[in-house]
Amino acid sequence: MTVAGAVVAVVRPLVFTDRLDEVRDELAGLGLHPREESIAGGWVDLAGEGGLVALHSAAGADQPTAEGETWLSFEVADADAAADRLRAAGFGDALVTDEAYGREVRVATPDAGLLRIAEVKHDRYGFRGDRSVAGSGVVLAEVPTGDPAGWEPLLGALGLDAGDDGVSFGDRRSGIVRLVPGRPTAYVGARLRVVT
Amino acid sequence: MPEKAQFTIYLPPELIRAVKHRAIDDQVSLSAFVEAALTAYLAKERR
Repeated sequence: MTVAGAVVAVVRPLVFTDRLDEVRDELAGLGLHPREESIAGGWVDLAGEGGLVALHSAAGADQPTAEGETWLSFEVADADAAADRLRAAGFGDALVTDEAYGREVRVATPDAGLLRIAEVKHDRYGFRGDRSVAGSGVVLAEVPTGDPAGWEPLLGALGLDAGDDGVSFGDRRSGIVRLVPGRPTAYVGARLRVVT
Repeated sequence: MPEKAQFTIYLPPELIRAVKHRAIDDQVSLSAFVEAALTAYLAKERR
């Protein structure tokens, strides 16, 4: 098992919508830059100065999702390294799985939600775009939780440290997760904001 | 949806790559593609 070396995850809320073009344009108006898209449609992501936002067709999702439903997710360079660090931090169920578009880590959150952490696509078959672009806003995901203390080691394992307020994790480069009091959901529902 | 279980197997990397690409072409998840392929194969074997 390798736990040495920093894993810095990029905050990447996943928004399910069938208004993909409209939502992409709305986010571009807030400063994010479209980065990569599925050639067949149904997927696009946008980059900020820090953080990403992924848009996924709601109708094309594996499970029923409401228009605008948003889940917390992250992007990492190396799924194996991220899973190793999560297991070392006490999240023993962290598991790397294969998806058509690449690989991801699945791990249970302190609220018993399913958090998905995508690995950067090493095989870009079916996708196009310029991954080097960056926008001007910072992605912030507000995550309702009943166990903020339980989230700290999880986010720490992903390289996101607590800010001065104790409830915001990450920085202007990684994007920010802000823990807020509230009822968590099975797929780690979040509220997306873009801040300057 | 019926409960799903994880199923770990070992395959040649080039086959994994081909299966993933075909799932992308068909616009289905990897799990849905493999499930459909295995179900179709088993049904064909029974005929």
